[in-house]
Amino acid sequence: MRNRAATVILIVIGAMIALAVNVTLFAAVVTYRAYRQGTAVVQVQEKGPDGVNLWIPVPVSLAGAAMRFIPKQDLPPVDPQVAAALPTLQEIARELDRMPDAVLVEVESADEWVRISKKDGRLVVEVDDPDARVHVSLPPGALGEIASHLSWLARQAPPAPPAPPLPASPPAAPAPAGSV
Amino acid sequence: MKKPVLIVPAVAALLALPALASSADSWLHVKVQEKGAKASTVRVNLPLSVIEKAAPLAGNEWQKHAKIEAGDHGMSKDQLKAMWAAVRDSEDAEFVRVEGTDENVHVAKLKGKLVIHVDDKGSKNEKVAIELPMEVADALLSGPGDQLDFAAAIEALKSHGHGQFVSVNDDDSTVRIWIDGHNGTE
Repeated sequence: MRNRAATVILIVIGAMIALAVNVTLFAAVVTYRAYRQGTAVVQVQEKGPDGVNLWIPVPVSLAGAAMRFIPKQDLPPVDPQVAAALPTLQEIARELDRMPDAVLVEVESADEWVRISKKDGRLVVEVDDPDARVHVSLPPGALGEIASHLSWLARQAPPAPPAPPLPASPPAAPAPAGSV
Repeated sequence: MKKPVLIVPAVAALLALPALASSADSWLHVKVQEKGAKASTVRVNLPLSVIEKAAPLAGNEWQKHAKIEAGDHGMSKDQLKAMWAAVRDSEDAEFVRVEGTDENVHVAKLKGKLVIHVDDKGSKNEKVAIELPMEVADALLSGPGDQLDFAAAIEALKSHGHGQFVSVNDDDSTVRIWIDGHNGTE
């Protein structure tokens, strides 16, 4: 009896440990995938002995959500031409998400290299010049999300201030006395 | 009785496959290669589906900035359309042949394309070859008023199939623009 009870207890403990490990692993995988899917990454590697290395992950959704907490009067204005182009930019972003991986633009010169590509579903911008190496990677859907946030901003932000009036031309100096 | 019902849609799907493949997989490539010691190379590879979505932006910019010039004279879109209609409705023919010490120019209509070859033997030693499918130019000029219909031109490019459209070769650089089914760079 006692042996059977001990066996049952051991089995239950083993099952709980296995469940805990599985749940932890699952959570780690989901978190990593969410991170990869939703986070833009900016890496800057300055060249030279005192070069700075930066690695900045930016959750795209969080950046957009944070914008909604800015008071309306403090929102930056969006250029009307940019605002008008945003629906088209969203369509382009959707099409970029659908297309297969490829190098889209590549510029190569003696001292600089720039590449914009789609790699593993992410939009990647890479720059290598004499001063630094820069790598920016956007998750799928990020461009569309950015365009969507800008559209929201264009609808919310106050209109751009009117252009300042032109300064009045100074009055002509009076002619000196005695001149013709 | 079931067999004919299955065969007809299967045959229709097989016949549609090439069209689907060409429209879904067509890529526009641009390669600019400078010559010289500090030469640079620019490569652009974009699927026609993305360019099609960007066509309205191109149209807006055209409206703001572009104008058609022929030699030293400006030309309205209606005048260009009338000239183009005359070229389009003619038989395959050679319209211009200039053979000079400085320059050879050849403009012709051949097998549904407008073919322009220029061999400029001047200071830059420039060779230009343009082969523009007639239906693409038709589509471009089909917009209302002064507008150019870039979206229609892209549609015409998609259905025309693959090939090289522009090649420019001079002492400073070479430029090629072509469409094929590959997403790789050259």
